[in-house]
Amino acid sequence: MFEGLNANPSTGQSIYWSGDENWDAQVISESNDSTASTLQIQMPLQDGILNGDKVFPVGATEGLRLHLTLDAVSRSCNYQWGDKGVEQPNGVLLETALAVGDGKKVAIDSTLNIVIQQGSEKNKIEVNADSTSLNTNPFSVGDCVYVSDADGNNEERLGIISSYFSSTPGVADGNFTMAVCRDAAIQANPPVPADGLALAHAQGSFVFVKNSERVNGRPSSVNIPPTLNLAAAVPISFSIENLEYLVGSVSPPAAYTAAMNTQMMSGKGLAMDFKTYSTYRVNLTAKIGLTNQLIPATAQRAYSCLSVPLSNAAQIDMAADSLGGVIDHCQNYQYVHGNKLIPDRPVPLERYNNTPPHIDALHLIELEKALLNCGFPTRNLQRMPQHFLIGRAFSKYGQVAELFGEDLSLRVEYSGEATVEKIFNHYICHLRRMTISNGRTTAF
Amino acid sequence: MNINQKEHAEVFPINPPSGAYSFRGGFPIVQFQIANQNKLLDPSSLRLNGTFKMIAPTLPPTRAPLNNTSAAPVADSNTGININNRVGIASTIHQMTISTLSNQTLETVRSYGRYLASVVPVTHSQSDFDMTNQVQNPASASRSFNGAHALNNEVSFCIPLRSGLLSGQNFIPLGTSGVNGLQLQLELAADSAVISGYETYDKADAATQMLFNPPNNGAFYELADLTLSYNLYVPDEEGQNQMAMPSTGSLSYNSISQLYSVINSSDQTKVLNLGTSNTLSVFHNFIPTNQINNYAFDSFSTGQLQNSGGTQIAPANATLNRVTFIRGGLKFPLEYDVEVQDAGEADRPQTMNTINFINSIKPYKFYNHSLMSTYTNQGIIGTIGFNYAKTPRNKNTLPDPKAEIFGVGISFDPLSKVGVDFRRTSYGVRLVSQLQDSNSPNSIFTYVRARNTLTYSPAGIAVTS
Repeated sequence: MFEGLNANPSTGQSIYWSGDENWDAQVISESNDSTASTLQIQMPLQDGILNGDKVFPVGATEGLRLHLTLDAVSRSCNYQWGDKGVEQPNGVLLETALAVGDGKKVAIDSTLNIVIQQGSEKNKIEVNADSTSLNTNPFSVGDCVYVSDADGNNEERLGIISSYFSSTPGVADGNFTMAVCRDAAIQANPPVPADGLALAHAQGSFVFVKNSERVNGRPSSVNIPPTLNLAAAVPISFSIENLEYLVGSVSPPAAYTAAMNTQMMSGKGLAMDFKTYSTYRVNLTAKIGLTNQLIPATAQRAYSCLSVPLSNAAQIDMAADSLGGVIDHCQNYQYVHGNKLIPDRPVPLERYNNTPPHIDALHLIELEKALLNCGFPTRNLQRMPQHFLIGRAFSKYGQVAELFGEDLSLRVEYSGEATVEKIFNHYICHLRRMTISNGRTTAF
Repeated sequence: MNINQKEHAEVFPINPPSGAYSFRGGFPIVQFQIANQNKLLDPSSLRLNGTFKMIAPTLPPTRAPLNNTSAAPVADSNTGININNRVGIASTIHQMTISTLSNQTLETVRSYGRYLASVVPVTHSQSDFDMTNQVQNPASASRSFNGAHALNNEVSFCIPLRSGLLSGQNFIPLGTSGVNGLQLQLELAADSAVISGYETYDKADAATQMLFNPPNNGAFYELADLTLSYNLYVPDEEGQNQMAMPSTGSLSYNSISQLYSVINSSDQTKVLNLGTSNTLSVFHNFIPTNQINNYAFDSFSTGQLQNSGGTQIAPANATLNRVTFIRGGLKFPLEYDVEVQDAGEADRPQTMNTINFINSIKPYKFYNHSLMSTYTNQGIIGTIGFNYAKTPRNKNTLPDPKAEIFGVGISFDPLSKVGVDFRRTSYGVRLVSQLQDSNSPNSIFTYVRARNTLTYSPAGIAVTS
């Protein structure tokens, strides 16, 4: 809520967008389409120094420099409805067939109605206050939509969406209807068949948008009204403004500061421990069977390991969650440190593969222990399949464990149904020590 | 001192009425005494027990229990009578005074219900409201409709008293070498403050107020069979002897004090003399002045500042633009203004203000249970998963939409927790809002949490605040 988190992808119910887009009650066009909301956020930086329990002596380090590198927009942002309607395989179903010659343009703003089948399934669209998803429309004004047969053949560009509405306004369960403006010249006089659609499209054809056109925006066209050209040209992006770093400060007594200065100038120096994370990324080449990956961690005072299995294909994909772990038919996992198996027996994960996914209690207990050891209070264990990761605490009660000297590896077993190529992010939470001695700062 | 035994004690009021305790019946004060004894009181175990009954205005002398059903018409004399679902039965307590048996006042919490109206939803989740809280406080619920359902008959309750002293973890020595026993006085709130209606919501989250009609006929409540229960820890013989002998010692505890003021302009600075030396935090909550002690409105609502013309179900919010906290004329502890205008105008979380408000009640780092969400504050649902992982969603299982938990607050000393001295320096808060000048008086309830020291000696008991 305060960090810009939004659990709900349903259009019109997002904290990132204003406007309810209830197309069952009114025609939605550029004038009353959703607009982006500016959110005020205040979020902690989950780092040992910046979010730790200790006061940091900025005087001793001659200040602190904070450098944040923003991530790619395709990884940071997601479509509210995931991959629904994005690219041909995820297209929604055409309800009313289109014939050759349909959609002739008598004026620059002439439109052609495209009717989509109504329903709660992924390849249909509905608006229903009682449904699990309030409004399942994945399209926006300015999207360029295409149509093809189910097998991908017979593809044709339909045009730019200028408005959308219900086929039976005010009556529940009407079909989703888009008015699209075709990117074609105004018809010849007299009209010829080539003025309209070149191909016929049967009921059940796939209607979709292309990811690249959404991400980059479409070039302007003389055949499209200027306002629609503007809507189509907008590339997906985000902006962060008015950044401030809020920090509390304390002024220690003069004697304390003097003692600290003396210690810093001594040979022994001023030492300070802080919690931090080291990230190890492993590309998993095998998809099925028992996989084994070496985590080259050398931390001498480690707390936990958090391992997130990410989809390789989803790393730069706005239609997929790039930061959420994937389950992909995993069966169990177990860490190995030196010759020790931790925990003693593999942790089962089979239940996550049920439909709908269930949770495995032992996995949750292991994960909660690992998070707690990192310093994260567990606030929510709901919907685990959607933010899946595995973890292991190496110590308890605030103690630390030594990983240096022996290999740490992770074994994850996948069934033969696994299909996703994965990259594992392993986050080792451990202590580092900063020493300031004779004016020099070292950290190891 | 070793503890030998734990005792579960219960005492009755020292001023029992002939019938029931009732504001309307002229019995608005309840007094309890915990005797001087060589034992230690666990303050967090203290509970007020009894039965609670609401009575419809047109039914006496039959006094039939209320019948709240979803199918009931919007307004008649029997339906639509309810109390605030977040405060519950504790809303009947207007003021709580804790003193020693020698009449040394330790803590007085005025407008106790409005204190809870902010504190309880910030620190309790929906599950807490509908389960843990509801077990002890039947009127507690995340939805006002559910709370009304729970009160359709005479109900028993067992509620904690959440003052600073009684929320502490330190045991209180009740003996001569201690506080010499305790006295607890509860002053009941007016019927028109405690009772109003409840809301039902349609599929589009549009509210309908269910309020008994006509409201001025005056529904009322009664409390009966009141007792106070608590745990006592009995020391060994040596410890008991020590507690019986007059000696010197001290006890630190937090206290909650309340101040009342009114804001009636779009840019107003309230200057308050807190008079506390170890001030830990301050928070404010707001309500239009004409909605206090008014059957037609919930006197424990915690919405934004409101311009005139708002109703219970459609408040005319006056967006908060900027907040500045001041100590002795200087910005303190924040050396900057809290700017929230854009977020407020867009009806999105006023994050900078809300986090400070939460932090004044509970350290934000430990913020884990709360009713506050985009649904309660902005009406935006946040309960659906990503990528078609269908999860059950039924709005009837969610808290009341747009029933805001709004406030302004600041924690003065989150690091050392010693507190800040406001004995000789004033505290101020500047509120810049979209309130229509001179036309919309809004009441500000200010709650101050401060650290006190109780010192006992053969000469008596002294409290340093």
